[in-house]
Amino acid sequence: MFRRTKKTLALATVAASAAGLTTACGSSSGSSGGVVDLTYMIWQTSEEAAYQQSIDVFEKANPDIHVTIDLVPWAQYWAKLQTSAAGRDMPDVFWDHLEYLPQLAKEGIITNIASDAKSSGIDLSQYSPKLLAEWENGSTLYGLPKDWDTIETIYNTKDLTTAGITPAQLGSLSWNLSDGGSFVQALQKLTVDDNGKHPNQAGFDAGHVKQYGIALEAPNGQQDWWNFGVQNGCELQNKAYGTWTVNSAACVQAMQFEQDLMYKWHVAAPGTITNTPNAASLPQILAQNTAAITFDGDWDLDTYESSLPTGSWGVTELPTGPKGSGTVYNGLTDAIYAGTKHPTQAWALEQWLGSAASEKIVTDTGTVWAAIPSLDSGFIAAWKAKGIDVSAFYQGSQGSTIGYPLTTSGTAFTNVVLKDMNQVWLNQMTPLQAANDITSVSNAAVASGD
Amino acid sequence: MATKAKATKRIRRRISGTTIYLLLSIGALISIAPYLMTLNAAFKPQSTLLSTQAWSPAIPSTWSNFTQLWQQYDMSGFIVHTTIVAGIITAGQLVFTTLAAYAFARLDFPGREPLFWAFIAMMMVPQIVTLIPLFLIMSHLNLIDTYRALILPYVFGTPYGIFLVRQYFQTIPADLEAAARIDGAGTWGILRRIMLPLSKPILATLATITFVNTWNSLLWPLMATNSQRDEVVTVGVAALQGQFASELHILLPAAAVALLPLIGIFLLFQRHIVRSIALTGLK
Repeated sequence: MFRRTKKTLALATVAASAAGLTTACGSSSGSSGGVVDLTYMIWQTSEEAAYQQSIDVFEKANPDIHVTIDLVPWAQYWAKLQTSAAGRDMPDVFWDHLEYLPQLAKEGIITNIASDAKSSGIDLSQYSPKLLAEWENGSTLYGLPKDWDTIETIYNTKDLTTAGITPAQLGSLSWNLSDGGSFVQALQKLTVDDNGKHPNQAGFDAGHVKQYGIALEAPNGQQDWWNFGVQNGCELQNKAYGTWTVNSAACVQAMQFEQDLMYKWHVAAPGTITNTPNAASLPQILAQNTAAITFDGDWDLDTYESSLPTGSWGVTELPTGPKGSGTVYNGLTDAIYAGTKHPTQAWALEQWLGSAASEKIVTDTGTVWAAIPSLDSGFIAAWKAKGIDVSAFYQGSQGSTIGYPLTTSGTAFTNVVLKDMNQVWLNQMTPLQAANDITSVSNAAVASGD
Repeated sequence: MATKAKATKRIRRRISGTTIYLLLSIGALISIAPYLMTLNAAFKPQSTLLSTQAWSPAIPSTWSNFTQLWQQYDMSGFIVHTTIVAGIITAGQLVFTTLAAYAFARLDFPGREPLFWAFIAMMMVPQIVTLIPLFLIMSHLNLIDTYRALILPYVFGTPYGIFLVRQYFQTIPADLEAAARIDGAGTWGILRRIMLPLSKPILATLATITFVNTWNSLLWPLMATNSQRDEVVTVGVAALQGQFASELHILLPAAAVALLPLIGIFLLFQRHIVRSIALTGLK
């Protein structure tokens, strides 16, 4: 009996130590054999290949630095970043978004690179000034700009042809608050019910629409009402890092116009089809012909290309509003973790990623627009080779734009906007009620954050 | 008269039988539909994936999504890493849970009950609460981005597993144990020769639950690993989902492939699981 007991005990010990033994390989990031390991965290699968190309070149020029790309999906990206920040074990370099910049800067976990940029002689004027301004705050700069994006109109070619509208006409429409303007007229032509009737015809059945003129979808407004907002003179904040002014007349009118497209003119897909986060994606809505046109960002171009045959879709400019043209203009930077064990090497990587050489590699693949405007022709050329004219995004970036709001109350704003605007798009809340609620909740968060 | 009543009864029974089976079939269809749609969509070419409805059949169908999954992404690596982690955690939990459950069920030592209930109370603490402390511990031990960070927190058993097995042990008559002791068996002998052979169903259940939970776990592996070296299948699949655009044509076959080992494990242990649920009333 004793011998058997011993055997059992030995078995248990073996099983237990298996955990320790078999896993004794693997090591945490650091330096080995004179080579420094850096982690570069990003969130977009479709951009990984282009950045790997760029990093391959960097590693060749810097044989003592090895860079691992850590691809973390957007849904978990910020949770992972916050957890690793709490653990003081963050990726050395990572993508940063304006929605999160103020909070990260306030917590002191990203590096102010203003003096490094100066001492390394980086020509900051090579970047789009508008983009740079969003990332600069007084004497601070929290990363070199890596790209930008705007919102433009994406259309289904066949639907336009059927309605007798040319892409050029679609790109030069205007809207107003009284009769909707030529934009609503065009959307009426593009909206068809089950009996083939349009919304401006007698007998149109709003309950059985076969194809909507437009589908608009965004969790926070970037791809929908912020654009109508900038075209109507709406400012989301009184100034960067200031108080929220979402309930100003210009902003409420922009929301009202979008709600009218759904429930007054019956030319836009209602919230039951487009409310996030459960709605079908915009490329899917266009591919399934639920709607003829949509507003979307250039980051989705890849998805349109893969799910719609070449020649069956295209890009054109947004309509103009009462205060002229305008689009949402946003961009990312690479941030450096303030507590990185390898600040010199991380700065070298940052410099490379923000350099014209690296941005050219990425832009010429048609992955993202470069933060350095002189390189943007490469993006247009890459898409021209695929048969798509994407220059509308560039035109948009050159015109009047609205940037991403800068605030430490970003989380409160994002949450309340999603909740209230979904109600507005379901016609269960008036734009004014929503705007008042959004403004008071977000401003309370600003006040309590200081 | 009597035969007529009998016939009516038979018809009634047949109708109620049909109704039950109809309801069960509807339930089965609802549960299995998402998986069937995933599998169906995995065979659609990228050009028709978004333009057709999820339930429309994959015609024409293609293997290209699967070949792309293996060529562009390290699918075999994901599966190997996950199998290592899930295998070690399952083996560890079987050993340590048995020991702990036996101690809580049968050994007499001071403070046993308070210790047990304190341990069980840990079931009430959501995983998210312990996430940052756990990350801090692993970070201080310099274990972030290693297999050990994935294995250590779970290999020594969970309150749920220990509760499950302890309850089962308590249903085994104490007389059996007493008889074995009279025959000269020690604690180890009783555990090995009496308890374990009688507990196969519950241990099979524990193994299945542990393996499936580990296989499906996303949050901790996502936080604890940073490189392809130890990337598990959930993290690999989740990475295909972008901020706006997702690589659905790769994501869906990946999800379908990730599901296969779990279906295999379930089929293997299905008999034991059903038996253990029938015996203990636990699920």
